[in-house]
Amino acid sequence: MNFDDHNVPIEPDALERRILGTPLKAPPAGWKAEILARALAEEPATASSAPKTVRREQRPFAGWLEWIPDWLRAVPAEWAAVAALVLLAVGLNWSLADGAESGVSVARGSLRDGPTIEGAIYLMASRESLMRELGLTEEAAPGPGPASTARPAENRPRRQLNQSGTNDVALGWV
Amino acid sequence: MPDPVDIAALYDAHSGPVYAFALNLTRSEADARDVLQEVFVRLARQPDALEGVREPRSFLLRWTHNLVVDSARRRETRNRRNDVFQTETLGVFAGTDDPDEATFRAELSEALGELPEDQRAVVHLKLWERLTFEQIAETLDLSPNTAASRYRYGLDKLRTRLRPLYDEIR
Repeated sequence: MNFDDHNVPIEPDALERRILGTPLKAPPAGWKAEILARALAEEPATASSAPKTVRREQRPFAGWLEWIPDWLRAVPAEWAAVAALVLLAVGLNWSLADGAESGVSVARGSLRDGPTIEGAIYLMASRESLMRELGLTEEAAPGPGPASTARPAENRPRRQLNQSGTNDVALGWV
Repeated sequence: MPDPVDIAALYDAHSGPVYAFALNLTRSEADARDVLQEVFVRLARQPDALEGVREPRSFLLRWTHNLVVDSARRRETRNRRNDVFQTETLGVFAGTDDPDEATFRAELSEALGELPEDQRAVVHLKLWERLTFEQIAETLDLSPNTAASRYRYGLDKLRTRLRPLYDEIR
């Protein structure tokens, strides 16, 4: 038996041949006049009744937006807005994390190699991250308030100069 | 306004297949008639719709299919609203005086009605309109492979359903 490209036998079998010879119902003859009268009573679609389309030259950004694929155009605006917000939040999170990390590393470099303006800026900007990394905490504010989480004075690291005497912010254990 | 002769000629040439396809899909004479009328009303409203169309029959069958889908949605809503569940068993074949042939047509009509609508549409277009799978794919807006597989599944179900009769006629 021969098959076509779609794996269907080319020659119809007995059932198909029998079905092929079976005449389908035709519309009753009386309908023709009625349907044609109804159809011909219809006004053909005119320019004023046709849906209004904006001409290309009236859409100033049409050329710019042509690169957007059709599947993306089909995304509802609400979904696109939510996706954009999620991407923004994730991107911002990464950016902040990167910034804090690079700030810590620059500040650490500054502690090692001597003070620089860049190091000072990063040190200020990433003070909290740096202190967290180094295991330090903020000094408790004087006066009434929540209990201080600062280390007792005897446990605090002592400041000392390095050998070159140029690093005035170096910490004792660095 | 289109030439009345054109619409009448188009009706003579295509109303039979359009009606039969609509009837086989909707299984309701009233709905099939509505679809048939809507097809020719649309043609009258859009006189240039067939301009440049190579296969007017396929084009009109495509309209028919789209209108049947729309009408099915409306009917579903209506039935849900009215809580009506009609199971109409309607013959889609012409009548005959031969009792054996009448039995076969009734069985075949029922078997076709038991097919899922998407398979029934493909089987109808393949068997009675003799369209290729590429033409069916274009008419029903699906891929040729999907059309072919629906045809195979549909025909297998018809064979199983009509097995006793099929064995006799083989």
